[in-house]
Amino acid sequence: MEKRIMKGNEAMAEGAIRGGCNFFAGYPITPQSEILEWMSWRQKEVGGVFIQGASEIESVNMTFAARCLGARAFTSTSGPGFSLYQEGIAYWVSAEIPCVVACVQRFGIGDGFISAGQDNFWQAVKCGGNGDYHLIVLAPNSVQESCDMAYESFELAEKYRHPVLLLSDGTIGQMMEPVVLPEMKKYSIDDLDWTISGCKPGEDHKVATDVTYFEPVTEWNHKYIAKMRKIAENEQRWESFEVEDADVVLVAYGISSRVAQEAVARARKDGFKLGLIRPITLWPWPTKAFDAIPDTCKGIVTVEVNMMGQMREEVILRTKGKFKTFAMTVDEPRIHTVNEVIEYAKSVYDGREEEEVF
Amino acid sequence: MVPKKAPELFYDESRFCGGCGHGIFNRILAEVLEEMDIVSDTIICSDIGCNHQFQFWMNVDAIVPPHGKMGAAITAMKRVRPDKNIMTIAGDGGAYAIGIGETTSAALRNENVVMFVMNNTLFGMTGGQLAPTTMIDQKVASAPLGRTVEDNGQNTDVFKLMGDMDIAYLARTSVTSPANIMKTKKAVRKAIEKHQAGKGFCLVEVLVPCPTNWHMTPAKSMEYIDEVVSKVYELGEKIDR
Repeated sequence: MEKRIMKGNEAMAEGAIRGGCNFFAGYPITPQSEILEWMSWRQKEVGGVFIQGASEIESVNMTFAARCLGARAFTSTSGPGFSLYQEGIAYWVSAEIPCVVACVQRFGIGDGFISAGQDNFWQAVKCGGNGDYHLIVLAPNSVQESCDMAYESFELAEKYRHPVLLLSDGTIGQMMEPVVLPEMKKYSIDDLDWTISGCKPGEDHKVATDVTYFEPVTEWNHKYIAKMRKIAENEQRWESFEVEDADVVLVAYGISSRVAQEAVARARKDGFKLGLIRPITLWPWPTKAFDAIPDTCKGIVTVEVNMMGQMREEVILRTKGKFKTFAMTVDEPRIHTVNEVIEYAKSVYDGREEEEVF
Repeated sequence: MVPKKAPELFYDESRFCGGCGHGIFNRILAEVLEEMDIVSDTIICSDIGCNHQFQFWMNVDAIVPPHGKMGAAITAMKRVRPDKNIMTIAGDGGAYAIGIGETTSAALRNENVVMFVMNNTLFGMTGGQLAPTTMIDQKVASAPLGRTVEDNGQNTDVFKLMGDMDIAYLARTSVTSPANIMKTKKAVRKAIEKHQAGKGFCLVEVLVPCPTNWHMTPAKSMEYIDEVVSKVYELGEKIDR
């Protein structure tokens, strides 16, 4: 067991490497650049390929091409870079090319701010590109999870031939914590049978493309929808804290869930029955976790580092509006304090907050 | 005279429009791949446009990234599988309009890849709109009175763009006669041989007719290339290292 103190971004990069990642393309953007920098020397050590693309658009399509040819291909970005990735990611989905992408979120619209935020939820979870899809979205809330999720991401993506998004944030990416590094997985570019490696004599060629060109479209679509249903049913992950008797339930992922967890512990000491659901997968959404909320619950509060409460809509949708639902947001790029979360939850409990959906 | 057989890697009929130059190029490339015996060691990156249809009749492995992104994709493909022949069949819209960044940066890095760019002076699949290669005064669907410098800017000539770059091979050919077809075939083979020798970036632009969008007969389209298009876009080898 190898234990180190690392930044979340570095742990994610090293976790990917140990998970068999042998290709990385990316473009510098704060706060994810440590992943790019780590890969620049680490891929050389493991005999993989590192390319700094001339843009995010180059990088996302390099990742596609490398994955098509068999490499376990990974790329990472943030904020407006993730917007530039969306066309490329839609192509990954339609061609069933299981790339892995990380988005280390920042705060704000357009260029926004380079400081930590959780502003990509809508884009990451609903569907950033054109067409009907969700990515499998894993949201780490520690340096250890940054490593572990990257480590398992390739096999998860390959299992369904569907891309995986690691949705981190600037705080998780930049902060340092101890991390236990897993063993190196063995992976070769010839391990999987769907990859493009040259058409052998007597064989039919393989084309990595929107597969509907090569199959009857309705047949492909039925298969695809069945796959999405299967992922939605089988891959829900979450952590729950004291939800069963909670008067107010917090919902938070990433860095906000660390604050929320502490808020639950402190509120409970003071006799205030606060609970927390931490979605680990943002898609599939952990719908099952919400079954445990008691009917007596006074309200659900999403804790988010954005302005409009992006995740709140998801909660309303998935609970079919059964509970009053609020979002605790920020109007500047900063993370809530534990006390603020407890105060807000009390205010919800007392019926002093108004529901709002933009 | 020995009748010439179609290359074995064609598994279906071409569905290009009558008189289209893409089909001629598909045949040329297929012959070269078979003559060099490298079909199983070749992976083609497709553009999106008329050109991408090769995959529906050529039994060769391929990938299809988004429109224009071939320069980025072939870079990664070659780095991942350096033992394979990595090339793209691109359109002039894909390679020089939406993909000009990717094309140019692959050339500037002198990546060891091959680009075959079909220049028919317009966007064929979408109905004949202005491309970077549309010539001054040429009438196209989105410049119905003809291209002007004032409205549409100067046209793109890849010889001017890449003429001074440190790349391995830059050539332009056409397909208007048996002699020109043989020159194209020679340039295709030369590019692939340089690629195999690790010389660097190779781009062969092929002037091809689009009778459908030029609103000309196939025969007239060939004349148009000889008399007009190849006067604007000089044929020959610009870089040969």
